[in-house]
Formats: sequence, C-alpha cells, structure tokens
Amino acid sequence: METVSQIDTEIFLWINDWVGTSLIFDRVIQWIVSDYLIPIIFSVVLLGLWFGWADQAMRERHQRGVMLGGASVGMANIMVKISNVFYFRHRPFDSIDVNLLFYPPTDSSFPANPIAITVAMATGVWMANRRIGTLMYIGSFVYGFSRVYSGVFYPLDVVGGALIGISAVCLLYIVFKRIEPVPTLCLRLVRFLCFA
Amino acid sequence: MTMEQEYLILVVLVCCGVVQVAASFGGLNGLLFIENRRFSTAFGMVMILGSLTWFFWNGGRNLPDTDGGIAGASQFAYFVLGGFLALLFTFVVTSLTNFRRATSGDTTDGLPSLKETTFWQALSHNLGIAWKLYRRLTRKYSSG
Repeated sequence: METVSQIDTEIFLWINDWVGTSLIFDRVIQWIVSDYLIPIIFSVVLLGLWFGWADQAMRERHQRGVMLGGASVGMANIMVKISNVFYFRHRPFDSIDVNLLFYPPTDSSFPANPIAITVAMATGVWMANRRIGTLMYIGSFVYGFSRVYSGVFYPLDVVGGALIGISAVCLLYIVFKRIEPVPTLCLRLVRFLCFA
Repeated sequence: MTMEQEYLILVVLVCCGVVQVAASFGGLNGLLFIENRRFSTAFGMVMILGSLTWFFWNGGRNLPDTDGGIAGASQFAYFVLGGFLALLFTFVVTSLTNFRRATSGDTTDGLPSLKETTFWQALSHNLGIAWKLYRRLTRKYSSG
C-alpha cells in the first residue's frame, strides 16, 4: 500500500511539475479544470441525445442511455459520499509542495467526485452510442488529467473516481433490468407528454 | 449579477441552443424557432458557443463555493431549473410561431409527432385522448 501511494505521488509530481512550462497550456487547463465547463458540456450532450435522432428506435436507445447516465450521476455521488465516510485522503497540496492552478478544495481527495460524475455520464451514453460515449470518455480523461495537472488530485483518485462512475452505471443497469417494466412505463409516460 | 444568476442564464441559453441543433438533426420541425433546418442548426450553435464564450471569457471561474462559487448540489439544481426553463420557453415560442405551419391531423405520441405539429397541438391531442379514455372507463360509476 505504501509503495502504491509512493508511485502515485511520484506520477503526480511528474505531471504537476510541468505547470509553468507553457503559459498558454496552463491557461487552457484552467478552463478545462473548471467546475462548470466539462459538466455542463456533458449534461447538454445528454439533452441533445434525448432529442436529436430522426430514427425512433435509435432515439429510444439514446433516451434509455440518458436515463441510465443521469440516474448514475446520483448513484455515483452517493457512492463517493459513502466512501468518504470510511476513508479520507488529504489533498496533494496539504502534504507536499505543489503548483496549484485551482482553488484548494477541502473535501477528500479520494475518490475524485467530478470524475465519478463525468465517467458515469460517459458510461451511460457509451451503452447507447459507442462513438459519442468514447468521445465522452476522452473528455473525462482530459478532465481527470487537468485535475492532476492543477494539483488538486492524485492520479489514483481519478482512477478511483472513474471506477466508481463505471460501477454506478453497472449497478443501475442491473437495477433497471430487474425493475422492468418500470423504466419503460416511465419512458412511455414522458412520451405521452411529448417530451420523449 | 451573481454567479448563480449568470450560471442559470448560461444553462438556459445553452439548453435552448442544444434543443435547436438536436431538433433540426432529428427533423422535429415543430420545435424549431426558424423554419430552415440549416439556419436552425447555425442559430443553435451560435447560442451554445456564444453563451459559453460569455460565461468563460475571463477564465474557468475557479472559485470555491465559500467565495462566490456554486456548490455541486446547487449546480445540479440550477441545471435542472435552467433546462426546464429552456424547454418551456422553446415549447411556448414554437407552439405560437409554428401554429400556422403545423398540420392538425392525427398525431402519434411522443417526439415524432413534433415533425408535423407543435408541442401544444401534440400535447392537447394526447391529453384529449386520455380524457376520453378516462370518461369511458369511469362512465359506469357516474351518478349523472
């Protein structure tokens, strides 16, 4: 465990040491790392997928993916909160000298909550549309990298967050299957109201 | 203007833009502000990119929620509210502006009906069917 933590810290320091090398790159990272940019882009992708397909079968497939991804965001949040009750990891800037490009958050470093949320959305979409889901995974990876680069998460926190995001979707996928026809009835009700 | 108000405006504008782009790709003419699909796509893209540029013009807005930023739960609530307002605005405006263009024939349920009718026409048609069904099912229990 000690060795894993040491490797994690070394990878973190190697990535974070690049801060200041290129001011333009740092500026771009400060945009990407924002609490608002990637989450809002991912959320509107879900909204776009809900409406934007001419083929009815494909649209329904997307809508099920959006339902799964959206519900998984809540589940991932709950899983992160439960994890924080049992384990608290200090932020990198609490114990080592880092180049900070972001405000210093006070909650647990492990697992990375923003990554859990974006990966949950990406996985829900990936189950319905591989191409857009993969693009969202790439977006999540960039978001995770930016958080490490900015000095607010260790790489292992990001990996932990991603695993929680994927687990949340898998768990809800099983739940949705078990409680069928409830999700289908919900979708039909929303369709009756012309929202789906 | 507070950060919350700016965020809400951003969400409303971006969601309106996304609905325009998605509706033009999905052929949902009843949800378009502009009749021409290409113009609608361009209009939607301008709304999305313009509002994002406006909000992030001075950087990533990296502020803690204790110092003017928005907490995660509030962010979610504002997104839901903004999305709802954007959809409401789109449904009201397109129901009024597309009223003459729309056909008032029988519609299927759901979004596909918005290819030919407006949201209001489709919704009232479906609610009318539901009301007739309800009356038929409850007739034998009626005192009148």
